[in-house]
Amino acid sequence: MANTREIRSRIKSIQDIMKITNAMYLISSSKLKKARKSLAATKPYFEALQATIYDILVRAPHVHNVFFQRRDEIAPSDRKKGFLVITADKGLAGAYNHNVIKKAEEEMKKSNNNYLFVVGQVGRQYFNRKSVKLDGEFLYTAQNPTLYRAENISKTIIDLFEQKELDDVYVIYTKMITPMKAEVQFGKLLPLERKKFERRAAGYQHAKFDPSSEIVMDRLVPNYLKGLIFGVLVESFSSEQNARMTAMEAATKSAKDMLKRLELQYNRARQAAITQEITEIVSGAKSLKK
Amino acid sequence: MAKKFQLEIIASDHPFYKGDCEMLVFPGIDGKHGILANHEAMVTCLSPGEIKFQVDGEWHYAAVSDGFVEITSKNVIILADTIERPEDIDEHRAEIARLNAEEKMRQKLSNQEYYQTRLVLNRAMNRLKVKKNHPN
Repeated sequence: MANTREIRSRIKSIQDIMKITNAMYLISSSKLKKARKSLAATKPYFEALQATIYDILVRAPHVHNVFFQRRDEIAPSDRKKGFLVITADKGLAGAYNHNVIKKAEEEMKKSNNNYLFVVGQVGRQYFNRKSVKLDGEFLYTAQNPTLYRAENISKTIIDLFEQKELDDVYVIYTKMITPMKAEVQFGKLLPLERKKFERRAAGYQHAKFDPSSEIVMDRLVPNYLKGLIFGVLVESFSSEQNARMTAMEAATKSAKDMLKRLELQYNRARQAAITQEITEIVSGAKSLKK
Repeated sequence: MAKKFQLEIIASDHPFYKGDCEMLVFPGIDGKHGILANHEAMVTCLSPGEIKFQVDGEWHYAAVSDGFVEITSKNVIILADTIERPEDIDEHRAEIARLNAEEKMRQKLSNQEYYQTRLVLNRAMNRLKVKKNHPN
């Protein structure tokens, strides 16, 4: 059995770690409150944006616009795929980062020409170590998303798409489904697809685009992407805080369990030592009497 | 009584208005658009400017920035980056933003910076204009 001093020092170190996990739990729960608030404020926009764009694409007439270029002439193996991957700036958030990175790697296996745009330190460092092609200028934090940052990100992506440096652009992020459940989402950003068949099925007429569908799409698509990326950032930030909070809560709880077990062991060791001492004294005294 | 249609205005940071509306006027790409009920299906973009809509005979005003509008015969959805009521506009802040942008415009800027700054200036001036026209 381990001696009392060893057990004491283990108890001490676990107590110290528990202080840290508990503090992180408190921090992330207060950050989560803020993130939830901004998520609740943005969610109606995010959802209406997706529904409206879907509706617009259903009603759109044929347009010659760069955002609708499918570039079918390029073979699937030569297509340049861009991935916008949203990770956290810090670790210790349970499986949050891991899930996103796993999904990104899974998708990257399908093609040879991958370009990564990573938001958040953890993902950037991970892919740097793996020496994956990363955009070095693409440095954005995952903390407190703003519309301004979303605008910069969407501008970078649109520029590259227009210059034919990218043929397909996808986004990988985490969506908070319920407070207890988050799921990694995978979606296509560009090129957009007209929903010709859905329109015929729904029996809609083409909508009028004023002044012309080209001009409207030229302004609408960047605006849509900006809004979409903003929504994605807000959603991810909120799930990150949520993941960290649950992870830290679990860590604090298991530290408490461990302390309880060690306390028991410590007391046993202490008692054993006392018993042994008493036996030694008694037997010593006995031998003196003789 | 004018015919009504369903109007939904959503900003990126909050839902702004949802309900019936008799008439809507918003700044489009090439001038203002007025919308009444039973408008033909149309999609167009917003420009920074003043938006107004009539509910039960009373006009409501707000300052909008970029965004887009989807119109069908029954409802209208406006999705904008920001929307502010005149009473929520901070005149002082808008004035500072305007001065900053004007100062920056005088510097030699790259094309991209120039357009960005011009947008900032547009938004600031638009806020000031809406605030001036409707001092509560």
